[in-house]
Amino acid sequence: MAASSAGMRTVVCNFNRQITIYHPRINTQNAYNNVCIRGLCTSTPRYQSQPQIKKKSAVRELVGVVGLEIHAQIHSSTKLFSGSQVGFFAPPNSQVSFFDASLPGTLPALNRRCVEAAVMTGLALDCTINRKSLFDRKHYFYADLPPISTQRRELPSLSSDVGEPPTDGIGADPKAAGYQITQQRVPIAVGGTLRYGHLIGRKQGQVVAKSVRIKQIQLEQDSGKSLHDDSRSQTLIDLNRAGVALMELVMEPDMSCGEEAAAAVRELQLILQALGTCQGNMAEGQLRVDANVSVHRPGDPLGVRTEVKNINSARFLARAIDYEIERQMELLATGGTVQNETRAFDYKSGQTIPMRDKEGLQDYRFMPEPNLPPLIVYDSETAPPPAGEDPGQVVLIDAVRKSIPELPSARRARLVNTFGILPEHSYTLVSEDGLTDYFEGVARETRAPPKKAIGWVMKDVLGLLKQQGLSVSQSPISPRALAELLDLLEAGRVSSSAAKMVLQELWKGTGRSPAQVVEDLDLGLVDDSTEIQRICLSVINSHPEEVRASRSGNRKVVNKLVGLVQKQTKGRADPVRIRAILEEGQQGSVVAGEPCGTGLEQELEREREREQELEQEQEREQGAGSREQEQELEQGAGTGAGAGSRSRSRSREQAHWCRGCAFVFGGELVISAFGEVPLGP
Amino acid sequence: MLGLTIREVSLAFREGRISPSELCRKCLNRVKKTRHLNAYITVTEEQALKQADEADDRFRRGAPRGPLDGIPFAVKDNFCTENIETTCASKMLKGYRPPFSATVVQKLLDQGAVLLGKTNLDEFAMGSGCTDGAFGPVRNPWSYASPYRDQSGLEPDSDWVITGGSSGGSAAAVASLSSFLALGSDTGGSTRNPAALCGLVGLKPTYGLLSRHGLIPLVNSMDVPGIMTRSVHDAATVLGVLQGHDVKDSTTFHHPASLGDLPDDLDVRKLRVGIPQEYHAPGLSRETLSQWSRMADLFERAGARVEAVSLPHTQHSIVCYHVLCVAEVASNMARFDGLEYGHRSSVDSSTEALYAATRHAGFNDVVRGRILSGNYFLLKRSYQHYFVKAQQVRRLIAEDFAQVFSSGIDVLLTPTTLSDAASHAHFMQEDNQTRSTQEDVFTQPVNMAGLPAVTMPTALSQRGLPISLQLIGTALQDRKLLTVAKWLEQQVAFPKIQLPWDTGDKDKDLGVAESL
Repeated sequence: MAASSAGMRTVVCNFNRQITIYHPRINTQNAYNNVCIRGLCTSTPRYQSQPQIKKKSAVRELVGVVGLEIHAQIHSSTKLFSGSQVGFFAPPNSQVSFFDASLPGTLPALNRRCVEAAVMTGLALDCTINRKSLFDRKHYFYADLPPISTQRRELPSLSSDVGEPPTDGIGADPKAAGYQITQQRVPIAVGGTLRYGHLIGRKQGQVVAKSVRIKQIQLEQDSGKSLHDDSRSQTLIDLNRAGVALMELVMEPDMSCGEEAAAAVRELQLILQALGTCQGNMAEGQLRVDANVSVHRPGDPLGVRTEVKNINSARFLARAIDYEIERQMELLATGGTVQNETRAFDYKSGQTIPMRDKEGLQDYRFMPEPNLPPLIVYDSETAPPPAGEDPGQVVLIDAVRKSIPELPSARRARLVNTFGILPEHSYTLVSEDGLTDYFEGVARETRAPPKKAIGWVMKDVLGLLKQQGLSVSQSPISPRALAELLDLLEAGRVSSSAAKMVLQELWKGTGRSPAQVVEDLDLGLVDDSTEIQRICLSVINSHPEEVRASRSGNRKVVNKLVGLVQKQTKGRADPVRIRAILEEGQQGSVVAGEPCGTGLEQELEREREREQELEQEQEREQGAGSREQEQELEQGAGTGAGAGSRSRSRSREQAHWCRGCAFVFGGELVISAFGEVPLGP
Repeated sequence: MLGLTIREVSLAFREGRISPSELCRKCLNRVKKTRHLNAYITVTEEQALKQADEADDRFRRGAPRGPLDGIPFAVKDNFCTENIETTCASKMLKGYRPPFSATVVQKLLDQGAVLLGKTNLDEFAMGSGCTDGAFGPVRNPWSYASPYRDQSGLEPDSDWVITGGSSGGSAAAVASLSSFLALGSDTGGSTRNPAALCGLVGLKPTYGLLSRHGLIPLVNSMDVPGIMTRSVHDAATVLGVLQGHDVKDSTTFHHPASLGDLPDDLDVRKLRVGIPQEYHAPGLSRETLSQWSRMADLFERAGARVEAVSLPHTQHSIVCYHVLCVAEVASNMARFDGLEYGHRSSVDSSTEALYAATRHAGFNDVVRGRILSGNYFLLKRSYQHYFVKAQQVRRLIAEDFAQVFSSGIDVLLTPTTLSDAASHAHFMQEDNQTRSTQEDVFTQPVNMAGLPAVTMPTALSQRGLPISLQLIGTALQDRKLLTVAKWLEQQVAFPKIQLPWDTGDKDKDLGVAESL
């Protein structure tokens, strides 16, 4: 998104002022909030131009430098080098081939699907695909626990002293062969770029275009899992994951704070999911992110880095990185030095703690994997496969390129161009699985303008989905039904507040059409002009103070009056019409039964436009809210109750906020009926 | 009957002169009579008899599966055999029964060949004498044949000679006439060396022609399954059965040329035979040298162009072979920790202690020594100095061969070993490493270059032991190589082994002509 320099400065400053709002749950005892401000802002040249920063101490000039190493499990039915099935929930050691168990004499046979996935991912990230790439063995000395046959799953009499931190009982990743097959020397793809939008500003309503360079993408084997049972002095090993295909994406240290890294990872997640090359679920370990973090003064060589592991959500990634940046800064400020070490993020304390470090001491003793010839990929145009090659065994770069689906960035651009929605709204649409299709379904079917439809989709439908922990595909309201409802609204058959009641009713999934619901609940617009005018007049007469204020130009008071009228019509009258009547009434020219004149129609049109602007403003805020909510949910996965209670409290906040803002944004939200629908417990 | 070639036995089966099960019983008897040779680690008698019965049926119905149906064979104990113990002659794998068979073993079984047992070797195929396995050394059957006994005048049990290695058990099995065919593995000469010392045809095919799936690796980039038979024709027959792409081994070629029967009408006058001058190495015995000259003359007299050629980097080959070998060994042996199969120490104070104790007790000194040096060469600080340099030299060696062959040379003629077989007592005066360096000198460059080579006996030494020469061919030209070998085989008429245990068998052969 293009933004002027001046605009950007405002955004950044706003961001700084607002930071505590975005991270209300952060452990403040480590002065986290300052970190992010420093980390982000000092890395932004525009901010450095601000004079007060130059006066800050030397420590304050330090900036964070972040690079990521991401392991993405390739979404394939079988493993990288064997025919074993891949499945997260399979019983232990039920998906282990002879090769996966490293029985002597077994050899790797490369899975073509995995190569295609890596090539496709590389192309989507603008990488250069190496036509010839090589496989290497990476050796591990010890404590990467050995194989257990499917018969002998348990290791009796093993002490817990197996040399790895017993974090949550999870031990080393067993590599049964004593080595992992990877691509150290010549990986399948090199030199790409991940472009992502960093949402900042008040309520994250600004998109800043960022990018991080991709150094390389390499194919490699995943390891098994081991579990220490200290009470019985046993180590349990599950080799189901051993040999599953990974793409390791190595990023250059182009980022400067946790939020940037998290935004980059979220974008990567969406790209991988769009491609279908990785399911991208961090909680299930399909996407694992290690962060290399250091601090330095701009212009100086990079500082000593630490590697932070054990991060299982984008949210935690941001917190772990920012904690680590702050830790290093404080360390340097107090005269200490940063050790090159591996640290684990402890999500309970929000801190990184040193792992007993073997990684640093390890000599991986790389050597070429002799059992796999060089991996050659072809291109029908520029490098066709030699005659006689089995077409079923050949990977063609151009064929893979043709099969790349619409990527998130293109999809967002298309949504913005086609429907005229705000860029930040396109982020929400694309981030939520199935929401783009849902929105497009609504927009296609309804006569209401897309800018109106987006509010209903993002605020109302998505809000309800989040509240109940449902995915878009599980929505009880189909795009067609919502479209029909919007048509009723657009045609003036229901008021906007009544439409929200209809939506609530439709949510119950009774199978009735919106029109039926309107009829059954008698929610049709009150169309009796005499009746509306009577109510308006009574309101005017009973509120002389407000009328006076309004006459002296206070528009807010008009809104209050509109709300009072609506209260009496139970929200079933057109607020635009009420406003017109009220304003005329105040001028003392209300004539019963007089048809609307031309002047009134213009006023109505202006009113509608204002209404839409206000709605979009609200949605923007709402969008930010739902993003936070989404992060909460992501975190809370697995602890259902916690997630639920958090999202409820969030909803209460929203409901509260709605009421508080009612007068600011006009009659639409004051709406008695909807306003009283209990959103919180 | 036991001394026949596969072709001859197959004909006897077809003509009904003997049945596969009768032959199988004879072979099993021979195995028992020659137990002191220590050729077999495991004898699969029950299964062999069952397979032979099935072969009987097929011959009775007139529907044998092919030229190997009913033929008894033995397999080096580093090829996996489903549910049959596979030890690599190591305590580490004692009692290990793989759940699958190596592709080459399965192909033989699928052809109806009858598996007699698993043969002895140096532990994990690391050795050149077949003297360093957990189950003891293997004795060369020629130690018991009349020429050697007559010459030495000693009791064979006191002064027996080694088979060579590491596939010594396989060589002893075929040479002592208990098997008609044996699989060995060849990493630096492990098939050709014992074949040469035991007077057999030993074929190391082009790398990638035969699947290595199920061959417990020594050096993945050099290992090939080797074939030991009593004739070149038999070796070609077996190669034809075994070669071909295997989805389980990504290094196998997709479309190898069909072998067919080897032609009998080689026009030797069109042949160009190269004599690599660097193979005139220190330690080459006078007798072997004279055999080498004799064969060169023989080619020349028959009209071939015999010319001296140079493979200038040969002298560096063995040391580079050693670096690459131990590096891959260190990597390949990492999986043996005693937890899943085979030996496991009772030390349980920690996992590291368990590993250490298991690996110390499970591997012999030779294996441990190679693991140690291999890990050293792979260390970050050593890698460029050793591994990368060795790989560079490896490429130079391959280029040496390529250059010679592109100059029009068809085959190279070289010695296979420095001399005939050493006595066990003499051989053991030097350690495994020294012996391997000496013994592999003529054989391992071929593995470095991935080329096909075949060894064949040309004469008996004064001690009454086989002397063999090696022919080296171009990659994937295994058939051409075997065609030349077959011609040479016809010229030299190497004598059949005469063993003290043969008399009884002859009586029982009931008039089956030995002259088939």
